[in-house]
Amino acid sequence: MGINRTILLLLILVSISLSVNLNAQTPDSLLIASDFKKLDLAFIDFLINNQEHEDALLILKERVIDKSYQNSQLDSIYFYTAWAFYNLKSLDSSIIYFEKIKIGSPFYIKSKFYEHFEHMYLKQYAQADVKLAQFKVDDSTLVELKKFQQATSALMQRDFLKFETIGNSFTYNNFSSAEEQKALYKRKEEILKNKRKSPLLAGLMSAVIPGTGKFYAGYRGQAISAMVPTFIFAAAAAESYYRAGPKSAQFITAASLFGIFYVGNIWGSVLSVKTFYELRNNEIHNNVMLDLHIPLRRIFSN
Amino acid sequence: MLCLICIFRFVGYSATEADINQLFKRADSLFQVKQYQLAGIGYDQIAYLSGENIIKTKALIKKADCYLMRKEFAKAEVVLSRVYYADLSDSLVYLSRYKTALASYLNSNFGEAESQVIQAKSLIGDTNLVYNIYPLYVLILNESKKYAEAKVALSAYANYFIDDTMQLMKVQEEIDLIYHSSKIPFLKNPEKAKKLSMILPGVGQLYAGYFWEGALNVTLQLAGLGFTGLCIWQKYYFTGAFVGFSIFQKFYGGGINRAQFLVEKRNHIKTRTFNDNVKKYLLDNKVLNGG
Repeated sequence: MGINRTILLLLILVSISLSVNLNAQTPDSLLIASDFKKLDLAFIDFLINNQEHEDALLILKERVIDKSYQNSQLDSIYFYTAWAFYNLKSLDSSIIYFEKIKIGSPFYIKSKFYEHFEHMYLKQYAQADVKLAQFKVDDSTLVELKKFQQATSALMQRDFLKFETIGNSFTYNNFSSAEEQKALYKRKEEILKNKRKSPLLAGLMSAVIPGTGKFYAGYRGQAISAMVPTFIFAAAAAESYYRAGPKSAQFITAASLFGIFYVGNIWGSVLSVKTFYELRNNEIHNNVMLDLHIPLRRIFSN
Repeated sequence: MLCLICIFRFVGYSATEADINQLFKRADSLFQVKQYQLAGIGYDQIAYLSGENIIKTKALIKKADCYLMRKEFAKAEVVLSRVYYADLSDSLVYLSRYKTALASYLNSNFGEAESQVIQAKSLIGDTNLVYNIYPLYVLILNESKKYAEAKVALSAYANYFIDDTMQLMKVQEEIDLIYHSSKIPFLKNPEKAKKLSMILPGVGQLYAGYFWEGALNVTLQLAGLGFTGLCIWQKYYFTGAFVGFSIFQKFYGGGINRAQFLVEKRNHIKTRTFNDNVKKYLLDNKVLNGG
């Protein structure tokens, strides 16, 4: 009996030491890191400040679904997770965690402003509007920032009336956002200049004079390069027709090439109206987002 | 429960020397089993917990090793940029500068790599350590096409580490042979190729060493001109002037750009071949790399 107990004890000891070794050696060592309950948020903060966002996320990954933490700890976990995703430009994921942060958390205000920014960056203006309307702030700097975000959203949705209404309430006396508030009016001018043009008119123009449709759409350089080959083949076709007649191989070849270039040019002009408009719109969107980001960085110092 | 003893055991506590040693042991074991991200977190935790710059530096160097093993060279550079060089021993300065230079070299950031070596040379008092960095220095200089300096560096390295006169003479001969003027890549000028093709079509390609490409390009340009002439002879003036000339013009312009590209391609191949040969020599030479 004594011998049996000794063997059993030895087996238990061996299995414990094996489990220690295996846990150190298997890919599941990830679990070892995540299993530990003690959470040092200052270390997470340290990692994030040193641009080690993926490492921070690896530690936070298991913790965001762990409900055993206190609310304040959970808010911090959500904030750091959202912040790491934000820095890795995974804005959709970042929004999910910013949304979870509760009122009263020291991270609440910052997270809300960044959440609105992310919605607008992703062109989810409706969600940004709803959240901005529900978001209450008292501090004059934050009030100006909120108005700035609301006005930006209205502008990007081309709701100029709403934009003017909000814009009229800008005080311009807050260092953090005054310049960008003024710049918003310049962006409005740019948006107004970028009018949606008619694809039909572009097509018709290119049908009458090849290349002019592209010029009308906004691609001024491309107009010449579209015009030249079409005219070359038109001249060659006309010459072949005059010299060799409509049934000649020269004419059929030149006329076919002309036809391909001519029709392609019309179709290209029709499409270029939309692409040029979207290209310019994206440029404006990126500039507006840059302007929107600057006050956030100033106010929240990051 | 023993398996819960992990790299995060000491979070929230001020770490003692024993704690740090245990953290290093843990992170090292993760590194050995190729769990580089977890090992990296472990090393960063040491950098975070330790109040000593020496410990922090050691941890950061090891964290950089994790990134190097993951082939994330830019991130290794960023980690090493966190090293604070005040009050560090020569060996740590050497290790940190060497790893930074290596990360920059692997990240094709040769200017920064050279700068790290120059700083190591001027700041480290221990000559032995300084010369240890020379093989990497040679590779960096080669990539920067500073072949004369690379030869001097390689000779100095051999001179310093090889005691046996006969062996040294043999190695010096090999170095002279490797860096002989006939072996050093003679780099041609892409702008010159462009100009040559502008004046005489096809000559730029010939200059780059691509005779048949040049010949083909000339043929196609002549075909364009021939088509123009034929059209004009047949009284197809518009077709000749526009279509024929357009064909000629396209191949003429294309030929100029192609000549420039071919010279750049040739220069790249020559440089790569030479630099890879030097790299191979350094790695294979048992006298130079200490067996």
